[in-house]
Amino acid sequence: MSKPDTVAALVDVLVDESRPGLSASERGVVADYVRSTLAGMPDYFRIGFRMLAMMFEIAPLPVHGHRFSYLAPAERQAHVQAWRRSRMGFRRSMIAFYTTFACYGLYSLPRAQDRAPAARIAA
Amino acid sequence: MNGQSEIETEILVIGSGPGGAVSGTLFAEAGRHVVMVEEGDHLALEAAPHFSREEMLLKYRNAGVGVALGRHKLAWVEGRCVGGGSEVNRGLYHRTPGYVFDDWRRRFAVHDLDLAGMTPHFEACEAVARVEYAGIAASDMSRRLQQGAQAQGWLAIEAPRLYRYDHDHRSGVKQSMSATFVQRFVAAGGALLPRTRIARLRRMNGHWIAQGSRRGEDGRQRPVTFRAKTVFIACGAVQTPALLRRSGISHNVGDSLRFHPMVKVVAEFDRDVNRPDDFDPVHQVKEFEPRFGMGCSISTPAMLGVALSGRPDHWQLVAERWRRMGIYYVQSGGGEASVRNLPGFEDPIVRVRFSQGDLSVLGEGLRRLCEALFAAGAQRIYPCLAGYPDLHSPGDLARLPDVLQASDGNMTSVHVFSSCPMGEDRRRTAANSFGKVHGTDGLYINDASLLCGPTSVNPQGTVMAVAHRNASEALTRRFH
Ligand SMILES: Cc1cc2nc3c(=O)[nH]c(=O)nc-3n(C[C@H](O)[C@H](O)[C@H](O)COP(=O)(O)OP(=O)(O)OC[C@H]3O[C@@H](n4cnc5c(N)ncnc54)[C@H](O)[C@@H]3O)c2cc1C
Repeated sequence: MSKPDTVAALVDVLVDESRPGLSASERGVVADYVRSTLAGMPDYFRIGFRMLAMMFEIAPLPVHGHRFSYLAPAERQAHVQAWRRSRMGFRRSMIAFYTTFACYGLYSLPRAQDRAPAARIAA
Repeated sequence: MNGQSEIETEILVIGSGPGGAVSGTLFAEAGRHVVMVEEGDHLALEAAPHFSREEMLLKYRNAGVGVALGRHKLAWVEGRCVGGGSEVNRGLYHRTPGYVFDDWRRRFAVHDLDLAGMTPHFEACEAVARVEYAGIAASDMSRRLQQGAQAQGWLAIEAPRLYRYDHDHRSGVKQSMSATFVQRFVAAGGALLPRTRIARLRRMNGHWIAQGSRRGEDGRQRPVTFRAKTVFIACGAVQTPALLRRSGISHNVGDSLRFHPMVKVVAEFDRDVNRPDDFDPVHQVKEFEPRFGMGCSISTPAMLGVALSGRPDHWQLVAERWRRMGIYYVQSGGGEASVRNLPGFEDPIVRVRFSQGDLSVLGEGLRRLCEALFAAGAQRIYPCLAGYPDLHSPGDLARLPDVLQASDGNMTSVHVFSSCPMGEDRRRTAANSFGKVHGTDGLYINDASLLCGPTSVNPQGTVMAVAHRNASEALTRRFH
């Protein structure tokens, strides 16, 4: 069994909510953007988000017998919905965060191809 | 330079945003030996499209993620690159209203601060970073706000920008720090060191020792030390208090961070108002300042998508109607925050408090904004606030709560200041009237941290003019 990729799986669900036909490579671009954002966020949030992602990943185990990344698409969606509507603020916040950044990545897609890598001015 | 990584200079400027760039340029042009360090990269303005995902990753601090924690959280962003916030902002420009300076002078005992005295400093900054009006080139989306406000009998204006418009080609050049002051700084012989972060300062034998690290081309951090008689800290309103506190300086440092918190709505009109090659929107409603102001935000499909991301139908909505849509905001000066370092972490934590009064000002502002947008012909308004209803007519405004009900991420800000206020009243200030840190020698703050409170207008003009005033004063006093 491969290593679970919570971010990619979660981004997949969020993308499916609005653009189910999006290609795998474009999904990858969105997931990479979300990962870069997670890597750049303030260090104390980063640790918090890692822990949250782990909780999110393993939460379905008792009921479904599988972690989030290994669930069937419909079950994944249901899990995201449950956290989105949860009475616990941190669960809602986590989904809101991923939704915002996945959305930004998604809407930025059409223009992504025509970018040259950033040119640095001499140090 | 002593050995590999100890750099000696007369003046060290930390941070190259508007505060640092203006200070460094004045010192270099006065013939002083100046090193200006900047944590972020030195990137061309066109290194990433404006307000794009790439820009967020390249030029923003923490990839654009900043959250002030508290019962009502606030998301804010700052630049992190040569030029700081001026590289990523829209450059909407105002001189500070006279009543703001009068208030600071009175409440914080700031010497020699009034509009007449500040005018030469504004003029000097505007001679380098040019300020222009879009005039007839302003977009329909931007004008709609003005038309709606005027229909209500309210004062609404076009704000000029730090921008040189090229009306013939529907383009122009941003007058960011990297395009203006930083170039003059380098031309005058100043040394600019990007990718260099100062972690802490200490005093040794009449000099300041600044310890930090430098990121090489390979991405690896190497330690670096500077030795300077005089240090100007201009790291922005969150990082300046964080650096001072890490250096053991904490008197009134990081206790009073202020914002211009804003909430947004998306308005949909009956015809196209939003075109891909439009200039950035520029109209603002002034009628209710200083309690609250209104304006129009960047409204690209990506920004609209994020603004509407709480809705299940956002993709279709944006795809079908983005040309008819614009994002508008109301902003106040409410809320107060603290900046603290957490042991073992690099990034400071910000905690914010809003009073009921703060939230009702925003609640009222939101209603007024929607009134203006309906008066401008909006067919539908989508408040970007979880749980708020879509509004289809002015009659629906009665459904808006009087006190803002903001959940996570609904309140945002791009303006931060006042974390280390200046003035002679030592009970509430961190530095004297010209930015010299109380109880120290040769240590100055010269950025948005010094402002005593919200400017009510866009703050960069104030940051630059105050930095110009303080740097001129330091030169006159020979840094004593
Ligand atoms: C998206 C956005 C839009 C905005 N729109 C407008 C607008 O239209 N009009 C307006 O007037 N204002 C606007 N602002 C606000 C304006 O940009 C700021 O008020 C202004 O940049 C503040 O200047 P500063 O010098 O205090 O700090 P900054 O601009 O934040 O510069 C500080 C610099 O110091 C560097 N630094 C921090 N810590 C260290 C360290 N330890 N070592 C070395 N370097 C360090 C940072 O990387 C940064 O580059 C906007 C800001 C943003 C982010």
